[in-house]
Amino acid sequence: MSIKIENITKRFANYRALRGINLEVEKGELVALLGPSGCGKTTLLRIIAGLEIPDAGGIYLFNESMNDKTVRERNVGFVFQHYALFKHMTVFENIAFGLKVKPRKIRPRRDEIEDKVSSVINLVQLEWAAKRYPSQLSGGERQRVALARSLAIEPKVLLLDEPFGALDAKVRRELRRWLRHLHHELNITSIFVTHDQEEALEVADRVVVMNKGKIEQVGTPMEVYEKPANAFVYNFIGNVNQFSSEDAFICNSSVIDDSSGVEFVRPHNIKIVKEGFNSEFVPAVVTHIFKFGASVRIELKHIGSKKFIDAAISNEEYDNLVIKVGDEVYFNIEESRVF
Amino acid sequence: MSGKIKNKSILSEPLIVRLTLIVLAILFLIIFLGLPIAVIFKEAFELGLNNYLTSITDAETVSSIELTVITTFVSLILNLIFALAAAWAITKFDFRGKNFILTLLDLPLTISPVISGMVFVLLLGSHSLLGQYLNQYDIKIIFAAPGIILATTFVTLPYIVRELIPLMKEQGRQEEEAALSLGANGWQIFFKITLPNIKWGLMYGLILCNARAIGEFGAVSVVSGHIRGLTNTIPLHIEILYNEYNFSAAFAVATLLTLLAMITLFLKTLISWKFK
Repeated sequence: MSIKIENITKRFANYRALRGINLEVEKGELVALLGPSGCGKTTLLRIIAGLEIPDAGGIYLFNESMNDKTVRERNVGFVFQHYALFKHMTVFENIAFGLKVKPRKIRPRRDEIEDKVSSVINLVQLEWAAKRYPSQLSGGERQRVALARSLAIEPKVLLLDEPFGALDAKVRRELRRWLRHLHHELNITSIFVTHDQEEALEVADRVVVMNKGKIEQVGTPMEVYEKPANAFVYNFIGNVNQFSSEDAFICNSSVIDDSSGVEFVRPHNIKIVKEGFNSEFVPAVVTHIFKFGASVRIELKHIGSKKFIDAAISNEEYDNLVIKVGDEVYFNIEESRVF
Repeated sequence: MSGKIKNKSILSEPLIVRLTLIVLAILFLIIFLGLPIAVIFKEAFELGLNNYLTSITDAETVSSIELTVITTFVSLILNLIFALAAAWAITKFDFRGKNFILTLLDLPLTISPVISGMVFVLLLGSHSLLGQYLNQYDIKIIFAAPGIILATTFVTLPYIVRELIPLMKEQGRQEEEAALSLGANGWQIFFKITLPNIKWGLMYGLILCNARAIGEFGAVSVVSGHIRGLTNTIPLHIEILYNEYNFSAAFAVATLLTLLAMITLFLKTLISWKFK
């Protein structure tokens, strides 16, 4: 067991950031902490690093209790959302910092430091930038320097706080792929925090979905997407339509027995036809068509209740259907879950 | 295209308005800054260069310069240490009573310097409890150099720290936290990360504080006792000379302060240019 989090609670002045978190991370795993802002994911990460002190509970790294250990003694690599590079130092000096500040007894020799720095600088493919200052680099490059800097001290675990949060979409996608490769190569136990569900599903081995200071579900990306444990996870991961018992017009498609339940339907589980064959098909108006990539997203408005419904169909289906905005169509729910 | 010409008239005021504003500003500068400075130098050299030189090399003048230099130096060092500690504590840690301390820091700016001086006389003068205690051990603070240093330090307290707090607040704690996670200890973080990040702001604050310390009159006047050759700083010495109708000597010494002010201004401009 690489990281063990035992019953961590943390309270800030006016709210409870974490309420009894338990989690175990295997050696070499890449785990995503996923949740909306304010759910406590960053606080949890900072507690693991020792930058924040929990009110109760314990952190174990490689079966050793970290409760009395300072940040310095924990030997974790931490990557910040806004890079936190040292502005007045070159890329080389930034990366060498962690080695240079070691106590004299265990500090590597100067040439050893240089070797180590060039090896991690190679790893992040920034050899050309060694003598530059952070302000001369792009956001993506800065974050790679930050990563190299944390890897230079050979940490036992790597913690990344929204590492791609400040980058634009294209760079973010590249870096995601690159992080996965890097992790594969180094096999260092890593936890990263994100509010972007796509990022979590794409990069992580396991996803921890958090909400309001609690863990809602832990599972592989496939599990949390296909088998959400509860309404929150269903809602948070992937697009979803929600129907409560008030939306009586869909009752005939999937009966809601208890009135407090909410029916969740993924957009691709909604079927659109031009003619309603029977009472299972509900009439609606097409209000928007968004054709992009592998599927077509269609926004429908139920005629009676004016409720909007998101549907997604394949390009092929769309071509066969021949619809445009303003058309009256019928839809039906093929698959759904009630919580 | 005629668009260019049109734009110009939209973007600027009529010539008459511009001229009036410029003339007003220049007149104001001449009357309130240019003329007084010119008068200082004119009066100082009125009785010739020799007289000027004897005025500023007079034993009492030299001793007042010495006292001012010592006072300024010591209060700068004290304020530097205090400002670094206070700004570091206020911006890098959360604790109860932070806002109270922030308010307290502005106190010397809002209190009249005369009152600041009086406070120290009441606190440490021979009639106070503390003063009687100090008297037993023959420690003189009021009407002596320590009192002058104390009063100057009090009055100039906010200058450096007020320069540092917004700067350090803006920079946040992230670089320090990064250094911490990389294994640096407190001193390493301070000298390798925090200090390089604030060095220009710190210099700027030091210069402002320096200018204020050299010129401080009110508070120092109360605690000094005006003992010639012993507890007179430059501004106090100028006042004495002036009150004795020794105008050319008073203005001669005043040119020294003016020159110091100009040097300070030059350094300040240089640093703020570098800093921005």
